[in-house]
Amino acid sequence: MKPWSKTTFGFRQIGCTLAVVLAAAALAAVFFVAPTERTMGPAQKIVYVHVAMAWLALAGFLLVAGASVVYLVRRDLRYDDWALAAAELGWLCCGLTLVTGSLWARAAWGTWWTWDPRLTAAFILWCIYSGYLVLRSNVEAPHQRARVAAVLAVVGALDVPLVVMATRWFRGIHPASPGMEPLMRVVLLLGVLGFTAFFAMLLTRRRAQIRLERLLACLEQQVEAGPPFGAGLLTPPTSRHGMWHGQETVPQRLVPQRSGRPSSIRDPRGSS
Amino acid sequence: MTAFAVAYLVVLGAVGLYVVRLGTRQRRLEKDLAALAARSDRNETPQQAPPQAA
Repeated sequence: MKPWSKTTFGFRQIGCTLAVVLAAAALAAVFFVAPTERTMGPAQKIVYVHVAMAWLALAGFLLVAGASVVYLVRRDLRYDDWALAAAELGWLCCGLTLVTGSLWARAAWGTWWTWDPRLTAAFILWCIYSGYLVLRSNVEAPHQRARVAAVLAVVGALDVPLVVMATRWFRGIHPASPGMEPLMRVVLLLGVLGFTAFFAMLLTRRRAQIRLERLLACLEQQVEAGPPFGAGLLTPPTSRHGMWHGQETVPQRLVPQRSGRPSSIRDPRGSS
Repeated sequence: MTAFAVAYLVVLGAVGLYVVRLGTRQRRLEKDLAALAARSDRNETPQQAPPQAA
């Protein structure tokens, strides 16, 4: 078996390299290209990473909610894997949005925190993310966990439009869309694109890992059951079916098949 | 300057930690899968017949 770091250079590696290069270019642009604002000085540059993190937090939760809806319709755990991967990254981005926003607020408004409508809505979103992850860690059965978490995600998604529209619907001190020079806008756009590409790469890798963890648990149960279930079921993956590369993280011939899927992937009580 | 430096250090540090955690988990999973494959191979090996008495 080849470790993922020693496999051949394929599309996935090209994508990863591009994402890392784009993120590095975005950071370099913030440090060396973006002009320093006269009133706030270098502290204004926090806005580039703050906006990128806020965008990723919102997009992450929309992805969690979307994958959860598809799970509820199809009862297929593969969509729950996407929801969990997006929730972990979204939680991180939402936390970083609050931290960078707080640092910016201290420099701009002279306070670390204020109960502005947008800040409050963003904090509520972070609480929903945290609750989602805590809830998942407390339910053992995979389909029950996925179902309960999906309902929370769908209900929690109602906070996303509130975060976006808070500056328009309510009166507060958070700027709706700050006036910027054209060069600053270009750097902001590059920052958002760079971080989005990098987090998309992390998302796909984490999702592959979650799927592998689930399949590994399924295979372990079968090996423990012993022959005839364990014998001959597992062989080391070939380089063609590397663990990290390819669409399937574990060779399909290692997994007991039923309609092309591992037996435990679908909820027997599912709608389809 | 301090707020700017702190903000970027926090973001890069947090993302870096996430990447390290991802790599560590991946290595552990690869190890677990290799161990499982070895266990399965042992199950598959037929038991040797006891030596026949002369």
